[in-house]
Amino acid sequence: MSTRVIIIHAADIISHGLSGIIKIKFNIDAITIKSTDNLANYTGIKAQKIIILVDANLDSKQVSIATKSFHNQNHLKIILIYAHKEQIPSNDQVDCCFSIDASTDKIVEVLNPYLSPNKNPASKKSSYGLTEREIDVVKLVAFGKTNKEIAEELFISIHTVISHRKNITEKLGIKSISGLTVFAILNNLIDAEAIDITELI
Amino acid sequence: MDLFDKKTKLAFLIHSNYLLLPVINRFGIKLGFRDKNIEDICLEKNIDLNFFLAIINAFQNHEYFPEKELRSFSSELIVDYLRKSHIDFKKISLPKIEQQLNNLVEKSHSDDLKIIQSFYAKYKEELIEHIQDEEENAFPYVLELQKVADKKTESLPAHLVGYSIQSFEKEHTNVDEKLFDLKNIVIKYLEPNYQNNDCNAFLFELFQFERDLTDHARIEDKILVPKVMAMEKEVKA
Ligand SMILES: [Fe+2]
Ligand SMILES: [Fe+2]
Repeated sequence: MSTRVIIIHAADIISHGLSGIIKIKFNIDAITIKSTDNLANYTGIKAQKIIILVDANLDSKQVSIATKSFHNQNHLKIILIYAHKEQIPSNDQVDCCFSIDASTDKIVEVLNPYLSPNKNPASKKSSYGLTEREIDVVKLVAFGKTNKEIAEELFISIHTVISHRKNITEKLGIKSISGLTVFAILNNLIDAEAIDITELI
Repeated sequence: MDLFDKKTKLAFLIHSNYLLLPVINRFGIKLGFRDKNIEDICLEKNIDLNFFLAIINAFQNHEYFPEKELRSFSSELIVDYLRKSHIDFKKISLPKIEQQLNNLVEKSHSDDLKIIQSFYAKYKEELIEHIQDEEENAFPYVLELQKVADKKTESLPAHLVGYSIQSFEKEHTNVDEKLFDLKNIVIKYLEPNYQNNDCNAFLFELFQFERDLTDHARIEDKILVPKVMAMEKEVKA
């Protein structure tokens, strides 16, 4: 579940400072551009979430026109960077805002709900003490397979599947099948978009 | 831990454990106790004193569970209490949990939380189905059987003949497991990009509900079912 950040600000000192904070705190490489004109170059970005941090000095109409061309409107969030309180718009064109005087902590607090750190599936894989085989089993359970189907797919006996499942439940503290599906999605073991969530959870 | 007795003041009861509030509400008792003790209020509200004491003491102490005494109470009394708990779960507890969860999801923009929301929805659906099944099948059967045992009627209505409580009262394992998983996933595997207070509030609700629900299921499994099985034997003999 990737997140991209675009900072639109005329002042380098602000856009670079912000992108530094975002890199350190969220491990995300932000795109920095100077005006809304350049935004058109990025409308093809394929990310699940796009967060645009924009200078309040820019014409808000131009900003909204420029962002309209992004493909996935639903996951687009606009955050305003203002110099004076008067620049905060009264309507709900932006999702939230912060002042250029804000401390790092304050900025992180504001951005936190929007920027989950980019997950790295490879490093997550070995966590929670599951073996490679147990991870295979979790994935298949998450896809709604029965013990018999899992045994056939992995060329192991049903008995072994059952013992894997017992160990998994003990290690993770998750007992139900839908609970394991949730775990697998949260840890990128399976792609939430590849399954029917209402069916499997 | 000391047991509450009929001389225990209601104010002391709630100071000892505020989680007992919904329990006493089910007996029609409201706040503003003044100096009343348990005996006073039971007399005033026409509540079975020993049943009330057994219920609150069993809720308060995990170790204390006077099975034999609890089974001696009438089915009507037990079923009435269980029904009132069902209403609380459906009208109060679940909506509160849901409200906290929705609030959490709205403010945090986290995809993880949306998945947890679907998981909760599934849990709720299963629980409601379980409750509905008890209301429509298990409880009416119990009450009819009690009538036969009390010799108020000759035999069970035709559509209930041949059934037993075990065919009606379903296991609690599935719903219990899901609630446990829900809590544990939030505690162990949530990405920390949410608002602390909102998530804490959600978890508090879950813990509180689990406590209430565990007590409820224990009354069903350990009191109602064995009691009814004994009645079944007696009626068939
Ligand atoms: Fe119940
Ligand atoms: Fe039940």
